[in-house]
Amino acid sequence: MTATTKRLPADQGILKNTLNTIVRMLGGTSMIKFLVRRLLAAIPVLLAILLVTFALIHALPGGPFNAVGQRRMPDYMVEQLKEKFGLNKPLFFNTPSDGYFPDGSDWKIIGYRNEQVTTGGGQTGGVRTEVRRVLRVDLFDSQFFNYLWGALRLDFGPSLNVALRDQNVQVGDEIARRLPVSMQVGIFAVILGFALGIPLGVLAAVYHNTLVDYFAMFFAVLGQATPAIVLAPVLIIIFAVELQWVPVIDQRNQWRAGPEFSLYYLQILALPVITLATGMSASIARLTRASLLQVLHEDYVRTARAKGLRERAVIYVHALKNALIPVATIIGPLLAGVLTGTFVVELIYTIPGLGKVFVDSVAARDYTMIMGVSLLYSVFLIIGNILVDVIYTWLDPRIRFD
Amino acid sequence: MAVAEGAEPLTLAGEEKPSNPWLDAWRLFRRNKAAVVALNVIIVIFLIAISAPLLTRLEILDARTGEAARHTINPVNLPQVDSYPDPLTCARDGQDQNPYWCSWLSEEALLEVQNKYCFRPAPDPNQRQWCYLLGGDSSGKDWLTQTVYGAQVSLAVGVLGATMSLVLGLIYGVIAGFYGGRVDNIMMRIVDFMYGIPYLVLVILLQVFFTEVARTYQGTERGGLVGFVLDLNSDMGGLLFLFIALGSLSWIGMARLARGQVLSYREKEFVEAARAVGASNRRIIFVHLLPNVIGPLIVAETLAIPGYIFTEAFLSFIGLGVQPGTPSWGAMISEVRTRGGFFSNRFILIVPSIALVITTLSFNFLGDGLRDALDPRLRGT
Amino acid sequence: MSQAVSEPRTSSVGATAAYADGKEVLVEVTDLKKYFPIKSGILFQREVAAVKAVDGVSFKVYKGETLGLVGESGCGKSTTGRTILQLYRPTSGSVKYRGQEITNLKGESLRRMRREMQMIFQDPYASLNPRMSVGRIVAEPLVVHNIGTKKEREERVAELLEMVGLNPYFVRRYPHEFSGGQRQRIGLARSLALNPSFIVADEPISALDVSIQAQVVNLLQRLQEELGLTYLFIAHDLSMVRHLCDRVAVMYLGKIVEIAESEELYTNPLHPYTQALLSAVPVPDPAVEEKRQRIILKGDVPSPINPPKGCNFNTRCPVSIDVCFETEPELVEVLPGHWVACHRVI
Ligand SMILES: Nc1ncnc2c1ncn2[C@@H]1O[C@H](COP(=O)(O)OP(=O)(O)OP(=O)(O)O)[C@@H](O)[C@H]1O
Ligand code: SF4
Ligand SMILES: [Mg+2]
Repeated sequence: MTATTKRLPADQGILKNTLNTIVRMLGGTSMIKFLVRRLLAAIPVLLAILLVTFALIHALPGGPFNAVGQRRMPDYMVEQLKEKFGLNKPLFFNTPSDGYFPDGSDWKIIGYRNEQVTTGGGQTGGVRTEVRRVLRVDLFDSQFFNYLWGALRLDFGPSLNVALRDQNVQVGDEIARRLPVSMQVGIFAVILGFALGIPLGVLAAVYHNTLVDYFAMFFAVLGQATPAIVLAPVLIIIFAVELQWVPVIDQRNQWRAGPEFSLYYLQILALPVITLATGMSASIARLTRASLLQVLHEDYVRTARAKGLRERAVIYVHALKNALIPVATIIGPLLAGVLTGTFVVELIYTIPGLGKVFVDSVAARDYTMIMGVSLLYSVFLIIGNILVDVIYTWLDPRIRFD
Repeated sequence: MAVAEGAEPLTLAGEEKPSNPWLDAWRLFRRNKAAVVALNVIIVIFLIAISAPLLTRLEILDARTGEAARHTINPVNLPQVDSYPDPLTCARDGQDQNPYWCSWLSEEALLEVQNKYCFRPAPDPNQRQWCYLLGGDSSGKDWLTQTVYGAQVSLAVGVLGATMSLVLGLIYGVIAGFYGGRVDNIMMRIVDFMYGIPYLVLVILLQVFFTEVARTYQGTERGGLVGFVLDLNSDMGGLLFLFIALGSLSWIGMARLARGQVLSYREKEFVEAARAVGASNRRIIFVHLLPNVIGPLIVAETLAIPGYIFTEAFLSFIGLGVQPGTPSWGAMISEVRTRGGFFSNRFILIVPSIALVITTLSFNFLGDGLRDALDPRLRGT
Repeated sequence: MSQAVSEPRTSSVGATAAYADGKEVLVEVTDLKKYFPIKSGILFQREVAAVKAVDGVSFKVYKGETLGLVGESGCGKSTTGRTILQLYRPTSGSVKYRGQEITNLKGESLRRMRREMQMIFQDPYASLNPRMSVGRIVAEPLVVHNIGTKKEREERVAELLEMVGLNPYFVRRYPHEFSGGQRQRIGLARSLALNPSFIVADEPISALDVSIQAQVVNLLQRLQEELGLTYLFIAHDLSMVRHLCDRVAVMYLGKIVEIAESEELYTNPLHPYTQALLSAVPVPDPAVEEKRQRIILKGDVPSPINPPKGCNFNTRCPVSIDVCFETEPELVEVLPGHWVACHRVI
């Protein structure tokens, strides 16, 4: 909390002042230090996650070219494909004994070699081939380290899925196409969760121990106890089959990348969002109620209650503000919930989002896609965890990071 | 003289009632009616689950002949039928003389039901009939039987999963919190690392791995530990691996909680007093720390049970849960969906759904009651 | 008392000829230091600084006496007490009990030593395990040291409870059913279970109601007479210890600044810090009270992480001189049995 308070002359101080303001807005230097520390700590975590995922998926029987349920290919084709995608390389370390020699010549720990790079092609027409001299570290010319180098350059490789590899679809592009679909469901669900949960909780607290309270809490508890795989079929039967307000889940549903406010789009979005939001709003309602009740029991509110209505209203608003602070802390678990929640909902409603892609690629042994999606989920999770801690400190200045 | 300075009144507040912290907790718990009801419901579900073999029979019945088709379930080899047997539909009992679900029906009523609902009129009206009290699935499995066995899976996953994660987390957290310093530092870094792993992603990868391994070695003779574990898992219908997958990450939250609790008690003066008296670390951990620390952990773990049950149901729903053929509520819902049951027979969907909701609801209420009783920090929330 | 055990005066810290004569030294503390490391780091933590909670403390406790240890909150009194009892391992320095060095004791010998020295805690609510019955709490030392059969232990517990003025009928009760004063008695019974001769009482009465404070003090005094106990009595305010203690040591920021016999210290405080503390104590005599001049210390206690150079009181001392900012004053005997650490008092 020792942001420099010394005033600098206006002309040279503007930059510094704005910088200081930003620092202070973020919560002072200790917060910056904390953020840097956490972000630095995330690097080894991500590396380890990559390693674990990589080891786990390569331990799965079968591979992308002979996964269960795929048409069997002749061996020579499998070999060709393996070579094309670099799967013939050793897994972790390319030692001389592995018998894989990058150049067909000598195995070197460090050396240069010429590499032919072809760019262009496709619709643009012009094909350019150039020869580059690249530094080789043969020891690390392995599947894992090649993937790692690529990932560091944000190149997550081509998808190995049979449907995608022939069109040379990159994992990054595929994720960029699917992620927004998942995000829409998640974000809409969070919004709906708060929009339903907070009023419900407030009602229950204000009418504490009345029928309103009991009803609200009954629904909240029920909402918490109803898993998505129960709720989804019920919603489908009611709204899709019986009332026919929304189209029945269908592989042919047109999921778009961006939010779109056509009737059709809202219709297909409705059930997944409601399914996901129910559990959220239930916990938000219970938390709001509990925390508002606690605030309402504090003395200043009690005395204000005895006074006029105007003041009472003011106090309620004030009390609500205080009561919502603990509610904000639920954002942390909620983020994790959105992550896993969309996963579940996507699979139930066959929404072509990330969760669906992940499960499909596990079945297809699409190594690069599995790695990419896992990495993305981990990044989300880590950022979410950091965010939670930051929110906690903003809300409760007593917590410090030193 | 000796008690001159003991002039302070020596009476106590509730002189008559004996009081001790666990008894007090039990009193507080009993005051929460919903929690008591929930506890009873859970006990009933538990009793049903363990007596499932007495109540029902697991053999799948051929929906057309009503004969027990196979003992282990492999839907692929079973005759498929076009639609589900409706509730109360009956199928013919073969040689089996055991009275089954229909035994409470009178002879006439049974005949009437058969004539009305049976797949196929019984060739011999005098023969005892199998009765699908809650209907059956497309391969002729009795829905009620499956529901009852599904309770075994859900309870096992919920309770054993929670116990496992409680024990693991407790041991880990207590060691980290109690020894502190470098040990704590390293142990908590590991936990931090695990916090960055997305739960479902790991669970799915592990489950795929386990199922594949189990499938690969199916039928082959394997000795040693691997063979033993695989056999055990297959005897448990795939539950063993499911525990491992679910438990792989779930203990870390518990470990954090346990460590925090231990840290808050470790510096308390009564621990210092025990140390001043010469108590060993073991005594301090087991006599002074654990009884104080465990309350909030039990509460948290009880409230986590629905999560385990949900996850199992979801995994079984997408075919990555229990082994195919092991009855599980999630698998049942999935079965209804894949066979288009959302459109045809809704009643059949309701059965496992209600079973799931009642079970998780009960654990939620139980957890709330336990929280009121055991975790004074959170009383009232 | 035998003459042989008395110490030569020249080497003794904090003792008077008149007072120390013929008295056996029970506990001797020499240059005791306890630093708590402060750790920080991005991934793995390393030590970046230390809280110098106790920073070179020396004194002696004579058999049968009550030595008061007084100072503001956070000055390191509790840490001193705990380090003497080896609840904290000292950073350096020595603690001798009946002439035996105890800072290097381990395992069984440390456990045996613990039977001799016990502690009473400040917070009667935190010092009793809420999940144990009174009987188990008081019997714990006996169980730990494997003394007696179950029956004998029960008898001993009843005896101890009676000794501290509690009804033995309470053994099956739990701590939350008792008042603060009663709990403090239970804690006292526990610490007496092993028949110790030395007791560190860490502010045993400051958490109690004033009416009950006197009862507990009387109890402590009676037990001292009956059992021949020696106390190190920690308190944060001088008025509390005046008639309880034979001698008083005043602590400031991890160091002892003055030791004297009680009366001497009250009537003739020499260190500016002691004077300031005493000036805040109301005097019963109206004539004196009238003339009493309050010395109000300015500023806060400096952080024990980096105490000021020179005399560590120099940031607040009203009479500091240049040398105070350069060199640290030694604790010297300026009057018989009256030791002060101040450059202005020589
Ligand atoms: N276990 C510990 N770890 C780190 N610092 C500590 C620890 N115990 C005490 N300290 C620090 O050492 C200093 C002295 O603490 P101590 O408890 O001995 O003071 P005290 O004189 O007993 O105060 P009080 O009157 O409040 O009990 C304080 O600054 C405190 O913050
Ligand atoms: S040495 Fe100096 S600063 Fe310290 S107490 Fe004495 S006069 Fe004050
Ligand atoms: Mg203290």
